Parts: sequence; C-alpha cells; structure tokens
Amino acid sequence: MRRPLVLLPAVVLASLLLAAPFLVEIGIRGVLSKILIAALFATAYSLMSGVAGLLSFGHAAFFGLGAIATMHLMLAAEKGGAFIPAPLVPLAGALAGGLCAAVAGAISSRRTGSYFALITLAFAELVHGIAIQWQGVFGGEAGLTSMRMPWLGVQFSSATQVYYAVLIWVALGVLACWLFKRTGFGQLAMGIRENEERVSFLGFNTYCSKIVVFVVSGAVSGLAGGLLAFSNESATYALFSPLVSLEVVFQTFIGGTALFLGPAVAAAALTLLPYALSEYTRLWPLYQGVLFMALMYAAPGGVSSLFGRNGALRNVAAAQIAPALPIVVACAAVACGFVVAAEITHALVESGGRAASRSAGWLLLAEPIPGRTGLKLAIVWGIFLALCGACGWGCRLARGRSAIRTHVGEPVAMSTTRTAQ
Amino acid sequence: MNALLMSVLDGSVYGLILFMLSAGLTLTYGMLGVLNMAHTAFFMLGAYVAYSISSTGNFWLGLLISPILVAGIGLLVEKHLLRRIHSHGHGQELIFTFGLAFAIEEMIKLFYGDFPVQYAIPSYLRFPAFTILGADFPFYRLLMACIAIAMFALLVVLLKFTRLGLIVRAAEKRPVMTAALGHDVSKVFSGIFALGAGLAALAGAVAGAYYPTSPTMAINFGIVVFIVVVVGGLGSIQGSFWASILIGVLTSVIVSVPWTMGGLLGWAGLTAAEGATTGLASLAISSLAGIVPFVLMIGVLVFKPSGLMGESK
Repeated sequence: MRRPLVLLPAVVLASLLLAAPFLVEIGIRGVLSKILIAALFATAYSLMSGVAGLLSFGHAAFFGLGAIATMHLMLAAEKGGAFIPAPLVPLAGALAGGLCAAVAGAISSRRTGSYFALITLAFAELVHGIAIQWQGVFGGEAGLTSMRMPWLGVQFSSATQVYYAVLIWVALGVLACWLFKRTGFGQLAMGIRENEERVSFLGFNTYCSKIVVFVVSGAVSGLAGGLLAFSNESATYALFSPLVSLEVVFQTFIGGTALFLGPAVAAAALTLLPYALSEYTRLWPLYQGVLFMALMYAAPGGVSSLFGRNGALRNVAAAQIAPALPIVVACAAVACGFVVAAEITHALVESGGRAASRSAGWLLLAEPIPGRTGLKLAIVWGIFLALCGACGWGCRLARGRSAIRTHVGEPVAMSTTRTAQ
Repeated sequence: MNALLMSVLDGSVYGLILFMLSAGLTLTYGMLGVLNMAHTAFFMLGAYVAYSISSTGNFWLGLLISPILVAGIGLLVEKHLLRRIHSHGHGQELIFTFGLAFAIEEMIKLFYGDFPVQYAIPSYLRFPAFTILGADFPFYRLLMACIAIAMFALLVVLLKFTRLGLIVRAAEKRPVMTAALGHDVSKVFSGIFALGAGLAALAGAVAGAYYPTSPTMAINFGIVVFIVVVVGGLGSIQGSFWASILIGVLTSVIVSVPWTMGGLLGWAGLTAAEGATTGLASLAISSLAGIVPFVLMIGVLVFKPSGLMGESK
C-alpha cells in the first residue's frame, strides 16, 4: 500500500498552507503570497522544460503581460466601467499570457535546442523594450497602480484575505498543470521531449503540439502574473526583465522535474530564503551563485532527482552511508569556511570603506595600503584555501581506504554528447 | 549628413569593441556549444584584474597579465566543472555558468565595492588622434579599434592557416574522428575555452580603461554578446565581426534618428498618424535602439538560422 505514504505529506502540506498566515509575523504575510505565486509560476514553467523538454528563456513576457492585463481590468473595475468580481480579475492575466504565448510559440517552435531558447529570449526582450517605451499601456517608470474592489462583503484589505484568494488560484493552477500532464496530450508532450522525430513519424503534428504546450504554460504563467498584480495592486515594466525569466529557469532546474512539485518547492524556498536571511547576511547573492554551481555539479537533475525514481537518496542502505560520510563532512567544512571567509571580508571591507577597496588591490600585490586590511584578507583566504586542500586530501585518503568506492560520475567528453542544433 | 557620418563612425568603433567582447564567445558558444553565461563575467574580471595590476603604475602589464590569469581560471573551470555539466544539457549549463557569473560579480563587489573603480587610461595616451568634422577623435578609441581588428586578423589566421587551427576545426566538426586520429579532443576543447575566457579578459582590460569599470558591466553586455554570435553564425569569426559592426552601426544610427513613429507613418502617406502625442505613434524612433539587436536576432533565427556567415547544419 503506497497510498497513505503519498497522502500523508499532501495533508501536511495542505494544512501548512492553510495555517501559514497565522504561523508568521504580520510583517511578512505579504511575502507568503509572493511565495505561492513563485511556486505557481515555476510549476507552469516546468510544463515547458520538464514535460515537453522546451527550454524557454522568455517566460517573463507572459508573466508580465498577465500582470499588466490584470491591472487594466482592475483599473476598469475601479472606474466602474465593468463589473468584475475582484477574485476573478487574475483570469485576465491567464488570457493575456496564453495569447502572448501563442504568438511566441508560433515563432520559436520552428527551431529547436538553443536556437529555440534564444528566440524566446529575444521575444521577451522585445516585449520588455516595448514595455519600457510605451507609457500609455505599461505606465512607464511609475507603473500602473489600482485598488482591489470589495466583493460580496469581502474587502480584500488585509494580507490574510489576499493570501487565501491567491492560495485558491494557485491550487487551481497547479491542479490544472497536474491534470494537463496526465492527459494524453501531456504524454504526447513528453514524447516530444524524448524523441521529437519519432513522434512526428507517428503522424502527430509536433509544431502545433509545442504551441499548445506553450499556450497552457503561458496562460498559467499569466495567471501567476495576474495574481502578483492582484496582491501588489501595482505592476511595472520591471516584471518583464530577463532576470524574471532566468529566475524561473533556475527554480525549475534547481528543484528538478523528477517530482511534480519539485519546481514549486524550489521556487518557494528560493523566494523565501532572501527574506529569511536578510537579517543575518547581505551576501545572499554570492551564496546563491555558489549554491547554483554546486547543485548543478552534484545533482544535474535538480534536488528532486535525488528523491525521485532511481534517485540516489530514494533508498539509502546503511552500508552506503559510511563511505559517503567523509565527503559530506568535507563539503560541509568547505561551505562553512567559505561563508566565514566571505563574511569576514565583507566586514573588513565595509569598515574600511573606499580605502579597503584599494586594499583588495593590494591583495593582488598591486599597491601599498593604509592599515592592515589587505594582510588580514590574505590570511583569511589563505586559511580557507588550506582548508579546501586539507578536505580534498582527507577525502582522497578516506576513499582510498574504504573498500566500497562511492560512485562519482566520470567526466564525459564534451564531444560525444553535443546536442544537435 | 555630417551627423550620419559621425554616428556611423561611432557605431563602427562600438561594433569593434563588441567584437572584442564576443570573439571569445564565438569560440566557447559558437564552436563548443557551451551556453556560457559567465562570458561577460570574465570580461569584467579581466577589467578588474587589469585595474589592480595597473595601479602599480604599469598600464601595459595589466593588459598582458589579466588575460593570462583569467584564461587560467577559465581552464580550471572547464576542466574540472563545466565538462561534467555540459553532458547533461543546456539548462544545467546555463544555470551553472550563471551561478559562476553571479559568484564572480559578487566576489568583485565584495572586494572592490559596489561602485565604479578608478581604472583609467594613462595620461600619455590621452590625446586626439585626428580631427574629423570639427570633433576630436581620441587616440585611445583608435587604439581600441586597432586592437579589435588585430584580434580578428590573428584569430582568422590562427584558425584558417595554421596546423593548430586545422586540428581545432576538425575537433569541432568531427570530434570522434579527430580523437581516433590521435588528437586529445578534450584538451583542445579546454584550450578553446581558456582562449575564449582570455579574449574576454583582454577586451575587459582594454575597454574597461576607457569606459567605466563597475560591477554592472557584465550584466550590461550579458545578452548582446549572444546576439552577435547567433546573428554572425555559430562558430564563424568573420560572421561575428560583421554582425558586431552591423549591430553597432544600426544602434548608433537609429539613436540619432530625430523622427517619431507617427512622423515615419506620416511620411509613408498615413497623415492621420502624424503629430500624434499619445499611443504607439508618439514613440520616438531613437528610443527603440535598444531592441534593434533583438529584432535582428529574431529575424535571423527565423529566416536564416545559420546566421550571416555560419554553415547551415
């Protein structure tokens, strides 16, 4: 009986989501909605990259247009021109996102591989450029702002009310993606990912199928954008920035598509962490960059691939733990060392201000410095490098001793695996 | 007319700098197929390293050592990390190199601060080379253009007319066959990647002295270098060269166009659109300069995906 095993986390997750506004401080309740929206956006994106194997760099266009369309509907409702129940306005986002995705898909699906990715990127940048310039529709520098209208006695004035409205939409959106994946069409999309040529030989029109996947993914992305507009009551052209497109790619690949909720969980975590850590460190972007590198090196299929079918952490036998232990300890030590070294550097450089930035030049043996900041930095990073060396040496030693060699994938020559353009 | 000539000249110089910046990517993305998002981070790293070294007093030493150092970093990254990730696909590669770009940018912010540094050309290089249309043309801009052209010529000669270039081209087109003939293909690929990183660093060292050297310089060029490589045709140095100049000149000329969209339509006979003050018709043509490269890329990808001078595959 596997059912209860699946059901239990689902019940825990659902009750956590329902109780969330009462578990956190008032100040960060607004963040909860953002986390949900990021999770929905990543799930929508994973339909493209995970199910159909299409690498899109342009989802910011659908997300942003969804937000802008929703803002316009909210503005119309505010003026009294149209009566739309407030909780339904994000649907405008879904519509706009879907329409825009149809256009983008029709252009980009003519190519595959990295060409496909670059067309989507260029398309999104085109929309971004227009959004910056066309003030009449996109609101220019200041963006668009509007108010949520009350509906059936619900004011939508508190973050908690907004959270539940967003939660319902996100649940519906994620459910829609899940159902889409399970339909025959979802299976066809997976077939395109595995072998497009073969699918087309079976008589399916892969070009149109890809556009349909695009439209579904774009519509759900647009819904996510609409929800953001609904919860923020504002939208600017910053939503169209390529960084928005890239963020969702990161979240999806870090989470991995081996489990359906992988991208959503990663999106939630990567949205929450900067807020949670902002009190303790200002170097989160640095750690994030290093984390991305480490994760892609250690788990190219994303974190969920470790737990998914054939995952390394699915069924860990006790005999496997001991040989892996030195590597885990070494990695942890290097990570801690890096954080400490970076934080010390940050503290030293900040206290020295501009003079300290010159001292960094001294670190590269370039110029004399006032004070000893450069010397301290050199010592700190020297200790860090020594730690790295010691850990590497320790690992090698432990591996040599252990009878069971842990499997580390041999580097595959680039040549043999070059992706066909 | 003078204004047009001036903007063509400006655009060509900008295009040449763009070529310097994207020549390395032509090798790493165009030839190896690595979606290297960290390319412009290497460019920025090159500028900062050159700044650190040149602050000892020797400008030329910075120009020399910075590319070598950054090429070494590129070599280590390719050999120990990137090669393993490349086999998993474009998405993984993108995230890894973007993480690397993030890490480089943040490390630079950590050490040098989140503001431009005083990396400037030495005073003995600050003189006008010639006067054109009543405006002085700085010598250093001429020098940058010459370095870019020299880089282009050297790369073409290296790839087309030397034995090493022959092996590189063979390794790119038929890796398995080249390996069977006894050449170490993975070493060739590491070398190309290191060369690409080094070229980016050289561009950073040269251009960083003239333009501001700041932590944002990587992001600013992040996407346009990919456009150059794609528009020129993957793996084609000549293609990148002409694509850079095309993008430079087009952007520069369009910035100087004084009309609005409505004015253009009015000229084309649609008088109703002329003089509009709101909506799409009121857009100044010059404000669209930023999206020119993207329009160009979509056009090329849809109609001639092999690029200006690439081989169709």
